[in-house]
Amino acid sequence: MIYGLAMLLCLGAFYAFAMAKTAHYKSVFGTRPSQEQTKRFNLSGWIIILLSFIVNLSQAIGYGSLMFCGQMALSVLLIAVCLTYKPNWMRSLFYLLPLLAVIMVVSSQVF
Amino acid sequence: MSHADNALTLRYRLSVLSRFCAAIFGGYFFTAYSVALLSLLLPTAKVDAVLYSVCASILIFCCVFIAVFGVRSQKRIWSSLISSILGLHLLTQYIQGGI
Amino acid sequence: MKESFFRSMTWLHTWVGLLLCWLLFLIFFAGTISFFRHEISLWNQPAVHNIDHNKQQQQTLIESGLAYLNSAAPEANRWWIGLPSSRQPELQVSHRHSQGEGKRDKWHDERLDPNTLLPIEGLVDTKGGNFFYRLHFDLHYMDRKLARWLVCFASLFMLIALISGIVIHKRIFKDLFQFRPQKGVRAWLDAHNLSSVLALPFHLMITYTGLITLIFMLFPNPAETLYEDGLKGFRADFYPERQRIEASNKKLDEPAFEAAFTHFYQNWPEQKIKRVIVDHPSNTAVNIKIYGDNGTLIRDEYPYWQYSGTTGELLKTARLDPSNAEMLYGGMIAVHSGRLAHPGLRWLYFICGIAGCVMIASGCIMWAKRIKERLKPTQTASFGLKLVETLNIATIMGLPLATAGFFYANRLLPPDMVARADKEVLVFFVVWLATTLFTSLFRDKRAWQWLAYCNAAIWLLLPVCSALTTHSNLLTYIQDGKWILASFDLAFITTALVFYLQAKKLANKATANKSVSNKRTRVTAEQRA
Repeated sequence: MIYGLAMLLCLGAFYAFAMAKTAHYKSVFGTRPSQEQTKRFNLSGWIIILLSFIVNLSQAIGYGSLMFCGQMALSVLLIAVCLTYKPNWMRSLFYLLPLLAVIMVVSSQVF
Repeated sequence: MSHADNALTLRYRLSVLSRFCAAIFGGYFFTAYSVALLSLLLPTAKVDAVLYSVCASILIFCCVFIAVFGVRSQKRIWSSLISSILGLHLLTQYIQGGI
Repeated sequence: MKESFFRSMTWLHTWVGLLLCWLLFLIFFAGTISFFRHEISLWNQPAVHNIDHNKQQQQTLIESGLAYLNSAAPEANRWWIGLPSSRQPELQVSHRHSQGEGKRDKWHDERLDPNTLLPIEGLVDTKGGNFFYRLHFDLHYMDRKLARWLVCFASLFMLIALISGIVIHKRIFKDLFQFRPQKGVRAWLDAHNLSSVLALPFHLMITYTGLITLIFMLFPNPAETLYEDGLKGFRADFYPERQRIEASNKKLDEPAFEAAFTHFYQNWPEQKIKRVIVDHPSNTAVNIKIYGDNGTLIRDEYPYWQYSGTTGELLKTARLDPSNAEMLYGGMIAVHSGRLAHPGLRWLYFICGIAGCVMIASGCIMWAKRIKERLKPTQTASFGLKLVETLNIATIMGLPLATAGFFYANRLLPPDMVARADKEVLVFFVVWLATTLFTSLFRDKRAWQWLAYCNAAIWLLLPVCSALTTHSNLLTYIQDGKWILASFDLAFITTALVFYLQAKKLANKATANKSVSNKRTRVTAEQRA
């Protein structure tokens, strides 16, 4: 469960990294990003990926860092495939990812 | 395309072969002698010294391999490889004799 | 200087990567599959499918294992009890017998249902996942030592290719997510970059640690300088549990199992046990060896306790508190083999492994395409190009096909066949050889497409074949909560889907290609002029 959350965070981080690139942002949202937006995406990407790393390591240092490497690979793969074949989905992911993360946190608190 | 023309000359092919030989065999022997020396120098228990030096060996091999292809002059590659291997070997012998 | 270094690295990357790329693909492919080694062994053994998860205490399991062995093989020179895990549901009990002077001891393996403690009926002779595990570093039909040297050599080249690849791919993070499937050779380059960068930590780790697993064959020098009797002395020091125990002539009726295990459970009550070995159970040289389970700790060798079987006192322990060097070395091997992984991490490993296969395959394909592009329209393909193309398609399309063949053979060969396990392996290689023969005749786009369709059909039919031969199918697996078996079927279907999409894409390209290729040759001709 907690690794699932870390995976989502990792996915979110790479989403932000992808959106910080002008070409990808344009293919998803249709407009050019302002410099401010790019900067913000980049910064949030770094913060979220750091969070994901911390969440992983909080479970077990060795096992967690292996998980983190795997999660990064899967995230990049998913984002790249999504950008190539279904750029529209990326826009909904913008809202879906935080929502899923919230649901996950809440449900882990409840159950 | 000077590159493609180069590819055909015998000289070029021989130099490639020599570089690969230097990288593979020279790299191997350099690594083998240097890890042997390293294991002697490490101030830990015998088992640990072996394990540490063995774990570092691939790193050394890679560095030598890349360096061989990074350096331009063939003469320098071979001379430095052979002299360093000899040096490592002598040093190992000296330390072992000293003990 | 900087420019020339860069160029020499590009050159190195191409040559080092390509010289052994097919062998590397085989190693990566087999290694990736071996992450599911025990799962494949389970799939290959339908008799074990219906066994429920173990609900017994480990103490009961060990006691009944010992009791079973005591009645089945009191004269054996070694008993071996492997406790069930989430990956292997059965209790393994094996015994080994001396075969007289100069001959190797012979093992008899048996498996018990952990809940009823009765032997499992209807086992078939199969190598299971061990075939791919062995193929990964011993290859096959080949001298073991030579094979391992070859594998080491290939891995070293892989590591060099990775490092030089990082050097030459300057914009490594800049176009991280870039994949442009419409752009011919460019698409292959994108696929190559994407698959290598996304799992870069994995690729570096798996190659380096892979070399470390065979390191004492590669570099025995440190052990030879420090120990009088070289590797032998080092092994005696590092693996105290492997020390040979000689049998004695004095008979012993009942070894002191109870005293030994009571002592163990009292002092290490939390310790999960992986396996128990008893040496010489019938005479006074009896020794009880207990191997602890590492769980998800990044360690390779198991903690170890050795008890005297005559008195039940603790004789020696090992690795209860490993040194830093042991942690480093053992950690590298543990990370490579991934035995510690739970299903989540195991699948991540698998995905990274597949990324590695894609990386190697796309590299090979790009190479062939580049040679072909350099050909002048009047030139015919050289022998080298033909060879490269044949080997490309034979490895990239042939290996999955052969793997499917192996699984079919497991289900379709008669269970009481002589040397059945070897026949399964034979089917694997025959399918591969057949593909190679086919590709030596046809190696254009059509052949790729045809083989992709072939793969798709065969992988799609595999769950059907399995359902017809084993009385259970995907739905019953899901109903009974047998997730390992269910994910096999799902993985087969996914593989089929991937090949189908690939085949369809090739078909589109084949029709579109004629106009495009005409245009491209014209453009390049203009550029040259």
